Amino acid sequence: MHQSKFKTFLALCGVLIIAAGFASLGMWQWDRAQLSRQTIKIDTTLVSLESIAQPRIALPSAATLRHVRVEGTYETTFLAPNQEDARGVRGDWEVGLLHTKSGGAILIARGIAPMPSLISGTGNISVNGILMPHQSDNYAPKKQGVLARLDSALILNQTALDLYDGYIIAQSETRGGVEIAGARIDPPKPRTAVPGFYWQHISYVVIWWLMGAIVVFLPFYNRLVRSRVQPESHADEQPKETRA
Amino acid sequence: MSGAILRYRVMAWVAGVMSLLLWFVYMPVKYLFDAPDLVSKLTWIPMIHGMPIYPLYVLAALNLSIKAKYPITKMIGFILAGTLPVASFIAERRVVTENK
Repeated sequence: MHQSKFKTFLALCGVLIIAAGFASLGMWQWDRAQLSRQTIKIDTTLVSLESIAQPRIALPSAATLRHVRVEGTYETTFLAPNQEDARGVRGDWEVGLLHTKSGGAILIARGIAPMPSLISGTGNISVNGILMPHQSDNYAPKKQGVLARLDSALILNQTALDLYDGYIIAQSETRGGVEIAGARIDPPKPRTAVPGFYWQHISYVVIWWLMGAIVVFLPFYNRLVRSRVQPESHADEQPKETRA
Repeated sequence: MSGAILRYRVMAWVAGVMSLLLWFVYMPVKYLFDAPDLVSKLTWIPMIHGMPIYPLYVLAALNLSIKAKYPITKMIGFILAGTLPVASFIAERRVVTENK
């Protein structure tokens, strides 16, 4: 008798611990859902590219959308067709491969094609712009002189330079203090995380809490099933008695 | 009872199909390939599986277990079957066989 009470107590503790575990998992997902709704705060101070990124190393997520400054000379240019700016306007972009003063190279989305050529001429070009992660989807077929997507992996076999991951959307280019004119690309604005993620976390909240509720319900399950058996067995017996 | 079986069978099929999509489409794209754009296009799979489908499957399994007076271990097995691909199809076949 004493032992069975102890077993019941242990089972009750187990149920409460598991239910609390599920509830806390739900709370954790709830917190993640709230976090995903917050707007990502982007540091808008202008920093040198070299201070936040390195060639041949994946672009850190903290470096994306940062305002950067880089100096160097253009080695070559490409056309990136069918690209879409922050307003959803599609167009062909002119992209230059900038050989930086520090020795690396990075793709610069200079503006809407055609842009004035900067390959010839003397002096370094100073570029201010927004650092972007490399693109994953192709926007055009692969061809010589054409970038299907803005991704330095596509030009690995065309240059011996150490390439940076990602690319820069140029907001201004200057050479010898003189600003180079051209139609610049509307850069993306800081936005919240992928919208679907909020509801994905909320769906996990629902599942974890439902699991917690089921665990709390488990001790009553057998009683409920037994209570369903009894009325039916009475129902079976009653007609027999009536007949008798 | 037949209503509970039908509800469970429908939800077992829907949850099974969603589990297959989750395990063999969404998960590989998210964890094996570097394709964030594609991942954001497939976010509906875990959302739909998580929000209405799996909780409804669990409720249908619970309803059937109570009505069919299944032992508690079998009821838990039915609930967990909704989380694994193919398992809910096997559970559904077992319910059909048992109730023939």
